Amino acid sequence: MGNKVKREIVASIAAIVAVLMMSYAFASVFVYYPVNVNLSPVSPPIRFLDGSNANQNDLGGGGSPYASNTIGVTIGSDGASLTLTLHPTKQHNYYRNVSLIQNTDGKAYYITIRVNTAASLPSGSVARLLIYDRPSGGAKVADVSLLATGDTSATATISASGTPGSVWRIDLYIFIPEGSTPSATSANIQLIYSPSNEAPPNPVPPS
Amino acid sequence: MKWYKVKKLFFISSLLLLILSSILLIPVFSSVFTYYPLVVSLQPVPPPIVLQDPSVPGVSVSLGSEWASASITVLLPYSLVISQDAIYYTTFDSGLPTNWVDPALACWTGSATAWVGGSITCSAGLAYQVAYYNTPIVSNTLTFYVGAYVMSNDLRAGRYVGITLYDRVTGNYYIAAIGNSNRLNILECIAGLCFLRASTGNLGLSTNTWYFLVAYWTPNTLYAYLYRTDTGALIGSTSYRDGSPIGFNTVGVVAYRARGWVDELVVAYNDPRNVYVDNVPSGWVVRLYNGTVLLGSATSSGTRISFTVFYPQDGQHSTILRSGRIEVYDSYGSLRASRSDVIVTGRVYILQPQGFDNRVLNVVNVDSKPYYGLLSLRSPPSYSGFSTLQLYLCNPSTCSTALDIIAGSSSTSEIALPASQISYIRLVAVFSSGASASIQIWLSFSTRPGQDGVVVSYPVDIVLR
Repeated sequence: MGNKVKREIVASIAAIVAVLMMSYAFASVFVYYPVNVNLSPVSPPIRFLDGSNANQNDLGGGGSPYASNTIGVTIGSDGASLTLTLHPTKQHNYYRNVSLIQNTDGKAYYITIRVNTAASLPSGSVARLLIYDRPSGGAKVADVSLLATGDTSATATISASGTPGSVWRIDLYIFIPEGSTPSATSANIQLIYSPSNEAPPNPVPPS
Repeated sequence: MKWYKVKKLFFISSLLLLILSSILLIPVFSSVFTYYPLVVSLQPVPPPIVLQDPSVPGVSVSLGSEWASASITVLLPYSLVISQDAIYYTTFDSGLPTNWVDPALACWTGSATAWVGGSITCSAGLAYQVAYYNTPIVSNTLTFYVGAYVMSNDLRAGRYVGITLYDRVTGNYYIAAIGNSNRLNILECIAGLCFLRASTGNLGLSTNTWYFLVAYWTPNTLYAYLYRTDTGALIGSTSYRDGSPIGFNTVGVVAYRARGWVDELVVAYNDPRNVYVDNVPSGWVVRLYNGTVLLGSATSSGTRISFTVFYPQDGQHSTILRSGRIEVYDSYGSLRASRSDVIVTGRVYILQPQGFDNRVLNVVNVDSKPYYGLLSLRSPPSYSGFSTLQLYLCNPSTCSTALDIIAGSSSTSEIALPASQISYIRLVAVFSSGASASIQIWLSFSTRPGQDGVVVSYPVDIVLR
């Protein structure tokens, strides 16, 4: 190593030490930059709606006078939450068009379905949330087991308002084998939407 | 290259990488995600529609533990019917029947010496003693058999005991008889004169021994066959062709210069040694009884089954089974048809499929509101031997359209399943012998018409055989 190099190293160390000393000397100085966050709430661009069978007769019932069970569909006042209450029986149950998902915005959104808490049914049971891209018929865009946690991929796109595919339909398929003794159970799910095609962060919002 | 130059290059590269990463990361964290809560609450209920065994004969139903599935086995109904009857038969148990004519005035009378029951006997001198059935039943233009057990106390030359084909108008007749030096003989009697037309050699016959004699007429030839009654073996046969046949119209018995006995006379279109059963599917079993005694059992190979029952002399075997019974079992051992009858040899029974139109499963709505049901195929059906195979879903007042297996339809129309009432699945089948089918269907019912609302589907398996 030559003398020239040694000199450069010594000079560099001296400069760093000088900077550190100066920083310490001026640490009590604060500089304030203004940052404004403007929140302009908008109506939910994606809304839950009643399906054609919302609150119609479900299986079973009772009481005197008799009252039928109903396909319970409860939607939050702004269409931003949904609770389904169903009364399946043994064998194969298919609930058709219990709720709709509508895009009221002029742009498409990417939809992810996340099961945070799975339902619990007897071994051999099946419970699936099925979403189709039309109120009637259409292509299946999501098929989610309610008996396991996890996300769908965020590739399903709900079309912009006024275009085909802007209203989706929610069906459910439930199979409970004969001879089992199921209890009431529920699955907690999130419908997550975003204007961009990305996996949603986890966990959001903070619980 | 100097070491500090390498570090400088590394520093610049790292800086560029940092800038590039920042650019790439900007879009990742630029999005907005909105989260809507969605809760699915499941509150299971007992089945509002339950399945039930309709208790229909031939239909066995196995239900799931909660009556929400069913396996049905339908044993298609068959019956045994006579497809070709004997023309005439008599046991002679009460002697000579009242509708027989004995011109010799009571030569032929009842005897306790019989193959079974009673017989008729005549001790004939130097005249042919004939007794005949006084009703026209045959003609020389027909092909038919006459069979009877015969016995003689004298088989020497010029002695005869046998059966006749008799013309009631002219009194002419043919004779098939044993005798005449232990032979089997055919004679023709015209205007009171009898001529030996054909005979075998000496067959070594024994007196006072039952033989089974068969006369077979096919225009214009008379055949005679003689069988042992201990082994059933053919002893001998002979025939006579007549260019100008007698115009006989009935049958009878005859004795000449001997005492003869005749028993169990059968006139039929088929060999009177046997009973026949047709149309039995391959692998099925037919049993023939006289009373409780099993005379024969045969497994079908798809062709005519015959039981030879004319021997031995044990009080049960005979050409006329007074307490006859035929039973037909399928290849699973299930009794599928039976018939108790006086069974006569030469007769042909046929296993005949019966149509089926009945309920095979009850569908009970135990809820207090109606549902809307239909049937649909769950998988392609397999079937053979059916000309009609239809399923209907019926309520107490109406039925759906058919799920027509033959026509290839895949579902019925929808009908209401009224609250607290019993609906049912109806099966209509027209089939040939040995038909079988396997059908898997869904019984689906919904809370709203048009299979809307919630649709529940129960699997139902139906096997027909």
